[in-house]
Amino acid sequence: MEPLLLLGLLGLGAWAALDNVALGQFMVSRPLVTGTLAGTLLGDPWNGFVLGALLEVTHLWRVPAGGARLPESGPAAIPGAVLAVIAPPGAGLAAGFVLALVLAALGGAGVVGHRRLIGGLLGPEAGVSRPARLRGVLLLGLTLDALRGALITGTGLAVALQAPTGLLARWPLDPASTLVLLLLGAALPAGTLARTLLPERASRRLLLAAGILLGAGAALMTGGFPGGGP
Amino acid sequence: MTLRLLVRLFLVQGLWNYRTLLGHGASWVLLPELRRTAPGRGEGLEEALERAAEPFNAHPYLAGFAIGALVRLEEQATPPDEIRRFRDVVRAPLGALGDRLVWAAWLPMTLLAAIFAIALGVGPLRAVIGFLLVYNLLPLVLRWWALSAGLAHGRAIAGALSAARLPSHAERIGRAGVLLLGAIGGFLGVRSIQLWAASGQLEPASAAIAILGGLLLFGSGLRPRREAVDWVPLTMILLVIGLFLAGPLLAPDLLPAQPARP
Repeated sequence: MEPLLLLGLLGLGAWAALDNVALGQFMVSRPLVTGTLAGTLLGDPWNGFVLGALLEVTHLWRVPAGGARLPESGPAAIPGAVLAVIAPPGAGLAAGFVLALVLAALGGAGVVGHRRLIGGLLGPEAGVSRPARLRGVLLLGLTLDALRGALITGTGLAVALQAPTGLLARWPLDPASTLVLLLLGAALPAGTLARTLLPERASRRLLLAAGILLGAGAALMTGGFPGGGP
Repeated sequence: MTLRLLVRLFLVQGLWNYRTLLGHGASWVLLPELRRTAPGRGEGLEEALERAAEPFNAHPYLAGFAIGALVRLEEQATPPDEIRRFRDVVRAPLGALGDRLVWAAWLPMTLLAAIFAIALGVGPLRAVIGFLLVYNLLPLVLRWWALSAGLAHGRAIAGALSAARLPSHAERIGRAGVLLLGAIGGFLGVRSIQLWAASGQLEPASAAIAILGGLLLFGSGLRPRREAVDWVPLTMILLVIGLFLAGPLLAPDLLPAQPARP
């Protein structure tokens, strides 16, 4: 991998970690965004988009209310998308998805550790009522958050780039069946997401039925994934 | 003053921690205003900062309500106990309303719209850029409105909050999200049939499993018990690893090594 590309991917991971909580929350940290951007940098936005969408549907039902401890999928989607792009079709998507799920769990644990560290630095005896000290802890926290994102992304990239081709060649499903398998895994969280979006049962059923008709119509009219698809 | 506070609000969660939650972030946002108001109250800046850093929480996009109101309360030299009571009263509604409107409705709806945009012929990069542009409209408006209302109304922000009818907006957005979720399911269902019938890329059994299994699992997710969904990531990890290990047994005609794409 070219150094400039590697630097771009690490920078994206750092930005995603910062955007997740501490800085801005513009949703650059969403796996759909980071996955697609990583795929685009490698010349294949489709696989990055599909991987990001699968991660979104798997985790989107969780509401980050009141400091809930959640997986961090944004930086994790970057190496996942890289593996999905560089490895053989089907095997790459499956392996990339699993890599991203593992990294997202590690990233979530990292967020908890980071929050505990900040809490420790801001302890009652830390003298943070002094403005300079408060600003110092803020800058340190932001720096560590960015490094945390780059570390998760870098670790994942090391795994993705060293993934043994012998193991990847053992994948038994063709690309279409692989996508079906991963979509089936996302179906259960998608149902829970529908409950999160609209707790009222009767309206939800009607809207789901109307949506299914709408989507079926769109598939019949477009006849496939525009632009070739994944 | 408003613009300076607004810019600082983008970092309000920069010091988020389990002890004071948003408290220290709020104190950092308020710092320039406390420099201005603290001497007038006859106390030091450090004392004012300590008070501002006490435990507090709110949705980051609605925290401006509390920040604006706290600026007004500090300017009016309101007694510290009254300020504490105000912070305690507003933290739950500012958290719950924002969570329902943004995290449980607007974010999923805009993400699902980006995913469904693919079905309408939009490319992946354009769909993602469109998501970022559309999604960020609401947070920008919310941040500006919340801060302006807090500065204008001081401790009487409840009227502005209830007049905005955020829960009913959240419900409408949630309905649109459910419609989009159904549309994505319908699109994928028909595409599975098309891949089987038209191009032969999908085996009939795989197409049937995709549609029936998808409906069954989606229906399970709709049920109130959420324990099963917590296990989905681990189940998928184990399933995929198992398939990699058992690959040659399941498909003996596997090629020795498929070439990696350049």
